[in-house]
Amino acid sequence: MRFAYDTSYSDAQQLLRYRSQWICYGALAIALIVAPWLLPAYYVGELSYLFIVSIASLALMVLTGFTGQVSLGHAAFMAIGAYTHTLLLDQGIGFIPSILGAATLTGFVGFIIGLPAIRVSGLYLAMVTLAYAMLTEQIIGRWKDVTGGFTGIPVSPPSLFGYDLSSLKGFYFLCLVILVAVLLGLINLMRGRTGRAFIGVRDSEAAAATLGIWVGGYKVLAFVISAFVTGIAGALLAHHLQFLTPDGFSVMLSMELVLMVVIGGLGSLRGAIFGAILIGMLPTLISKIKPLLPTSISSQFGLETFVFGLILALFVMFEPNGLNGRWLKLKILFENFPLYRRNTFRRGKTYMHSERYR
Amino acid sequence: MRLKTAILAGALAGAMLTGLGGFARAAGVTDTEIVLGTHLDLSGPVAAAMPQLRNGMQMRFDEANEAGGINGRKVRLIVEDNGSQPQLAVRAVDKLIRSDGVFAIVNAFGSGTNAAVVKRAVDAGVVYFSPWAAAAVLQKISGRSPLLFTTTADYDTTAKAGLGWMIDENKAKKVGFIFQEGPLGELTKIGVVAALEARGMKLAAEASYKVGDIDFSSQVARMKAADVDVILAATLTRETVGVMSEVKKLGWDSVKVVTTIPGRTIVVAEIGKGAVESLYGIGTWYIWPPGSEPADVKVWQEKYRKLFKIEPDENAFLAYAYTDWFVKFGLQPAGRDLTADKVVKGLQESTYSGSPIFYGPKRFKNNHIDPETVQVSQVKNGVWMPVSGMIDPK
Repeated sequence: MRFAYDTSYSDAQQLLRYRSQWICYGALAIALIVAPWLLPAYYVGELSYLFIVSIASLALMVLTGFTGQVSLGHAAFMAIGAYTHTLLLDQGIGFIPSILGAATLTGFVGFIIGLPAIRVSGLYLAMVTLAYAMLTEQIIGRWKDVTGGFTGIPVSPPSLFGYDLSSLKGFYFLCLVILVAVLLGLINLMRGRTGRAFIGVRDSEAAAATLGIWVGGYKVLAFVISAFVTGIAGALLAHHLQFLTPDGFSVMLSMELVLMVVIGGLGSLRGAIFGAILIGMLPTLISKIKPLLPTSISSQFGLETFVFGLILALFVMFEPNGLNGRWLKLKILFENFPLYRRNTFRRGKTYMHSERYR
Repeated sequence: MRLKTAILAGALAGAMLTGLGGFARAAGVTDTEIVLGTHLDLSGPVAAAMPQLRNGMQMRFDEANEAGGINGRKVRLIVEDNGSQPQLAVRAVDKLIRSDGVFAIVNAFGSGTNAAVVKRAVDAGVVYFSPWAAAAVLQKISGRSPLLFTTTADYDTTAKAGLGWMIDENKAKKVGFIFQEGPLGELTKIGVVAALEARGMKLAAEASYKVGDIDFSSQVARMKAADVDVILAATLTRETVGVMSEVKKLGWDSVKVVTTIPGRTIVVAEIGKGAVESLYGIGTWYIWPPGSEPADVKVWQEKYRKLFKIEPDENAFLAYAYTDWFVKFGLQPAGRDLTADKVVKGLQESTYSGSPIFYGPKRFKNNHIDPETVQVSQVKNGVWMPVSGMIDPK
C-alpha cells in the first residue's frame, strides 16, 4: 500500500507521483520511441493508425465518459477535419496552420451541434447527432466541386519545416507527438476546473446547477472540445488513408468510436486508449489468427463479424467497467498481494435510482 | 550508462531485423513460392457474393500448383477482408504489402475500397490486376500507373452504348435515371448524358439512393411523375430487383427498365423471379441459359461443384477467367526470373481468348480492357436472353 505524503502543494499537481510510475511510463516512452526500428514495417503502420483512433477515442471520452452525452456523430467530425485539412493543404497552407484550421472549423461545427444538447439528452441526443452525421455524409457526397463527390480526392503528403513526414517512421512520430500532446492537454483539462464541472454535469445536472455550474455552457463546451480534438484525429486519418471518400466516414466509424469508449471504460482517459487499441486491433488480430484455425472454420465467411460480436458481448457481460476497470483491479491485486480482499470492489451501499436527480 | 548501452543494443538489433526483413520479402517471390493477395468484402453488405470470387481465383491457382507450379513456384493466395469500408481496405492492403509482402493484388473487390488503396499499392511496386471496381476512377487515382490493369468495362461508355440502343430501338422520347450514389452512379451518368446529347435529348428525371437502401418507391414514383419511356438503373443486384418490384407494383407496363453491368447478373434473374421479368440489361459477358452452356463450360462447372459444393455463378467464372489471363500471360511467360516489369510487359502485349465467357478476344489498351463490346439482353421466363447484336461503344 501507498499513502500520499505531500510536503508542498506542487506535490499534488505532479502527473507522475511515484518512482514506480516514472519507471513504467518511462519504459513505455522508450519502447514507443524505439518501436519503429524494432518492429516490422507493417506494425509501425498499424501503430500509427492506433494513435490516430486513440486521439478520436479520447475526444469522445471527454464528451461521453466525462460529460455523459452520447454522440453517434463523431465520424462526421472526423470527416470535416479530414476534408478541411486536405483542402487547406491543397491551397498551399502549411501543415500546422492547416491542421489547426481544420480542428477549429470542426470545433465550430461542434458548437452548432452542441446547442441542441442543452435541451435534449440520452437517446434523443444520440438521434440528433446521428442525423447530423448522415447529413454531413450526404453534403460531402453531393458537394462535388469541393469534395470530389463520392469519387473522392487524394490527400497531399504531410511535411513540416521542409521535412517530408509521409515516410512510415516520420508519420509514426507525427502521430505519436500529437497523441501525447492531446493526452497531456486533456489530462490537465479534466483535473482542472472544467473537467470537474463536466463530471458534475454528468453525475447530476440539478446538483451541478445548485453548485453554480453553468450546465448548458459546459455541455456545449464539452462538444466544442470533443469536436476540436476529433478534427485533429480526422486530419491525421486523412494522411493515413491518402485518399478520401465519404463512405470512409460512415455510421460504422461512429459506432466503433462509441464501442471504444464503452469497452475501454467510461470516465477514464486511459480507458479510451485501451478501448482504441482493442477495437482498433481486432480486425488485424482476426486476420492473424485465421491461418492457425482449421480450414473448415477459417474459410467461413462472416468469421470476422462473429468474433467481433463475441468479444464485445463477453466484455459487456463480464466486465461492465471496461478494460480500465479490469486494469485497476489487477493493479490493486498485485499491489496488495497476498493480502487482497475478495470484496474490495463490492459496493457497500447501493443507491436507489430515485435518489439521483438528473 | 547502462541505459545508453541498452538503447544502442536495441536499436542495433532493430536495424538488423528490419534489414533482414527487407531482404526476405523481395516482393513476394521466393525460390518455392509466389505470394499473391486480394481483399474482398467478407463481413460487409455484399459478403454473400464473395465466396464465388474467392473460389474462382483459388481454383485457377490450385490448378497451376497441381501442374507443378508456375515455373517451379507454387502460388499462395492471401485473402483479406475489406468489409466494403475504405479504412479496412487500407489496413488489409497495408498488411498484404508490408507484412505478407505480396507480389500482386488480384481481383480485389469494391469501387470505394479499391479507390482508397490502389495508389499505395502501385507506389509500393505491387502489380494490381483486375480490380472489380469503376475502372476510370482507379486509372485516374493511380496516375495511370503501368502496374494497374483494369478489366471492368467503363461504366460510362457501356451505358452510352447500351442506352443508345434502347432509345433507338424503342423510339423513346423521355429517359429517366435511377442510380446508386458513388462512382457507379457518377460514371454511369456521364454515359447517360452523352447518349442523350447525341440524340438531342435531355434527362427527364433522375433519382438516387444510398448503398443499403431497400425501398425504392420514391425513386420510381419520380420516374412515373415524369412519365418516362425508359429507365436506366445504375443498380446492383438487390437494388435492381427492388426497382423492378416497384415498377410492377404500380402496374406500369409501358416503361422499359434497363440495368447496367453490375445489375445484369444471373443472381438478379434468380432472386427477382416474376418481378424482374422483361427487365433489360447491358452486359459485357455471356450469360448462358441453364443447360445450354458450351461443353467446356459444363466441364468446368462440374469441377467447381465437386470442389466447393456450391453452384457456380458467372462471378466465379469471371474470377477464374481473369486469374487465368494473369497466370497465362503475366506470370508464366515471365519465366523463372520473375519481376513486375516482365509481368507488366507480358500482360500489355497479351491477347486473351482463353475464356468462352468474353465477347471475343480481349487486349489491354492503355492497361484497360479492349474492346468493351456490349450486348443488351432481357429476362424472359426467368432467364437472360440476348436481344441486341454486339455493340462496339467506340
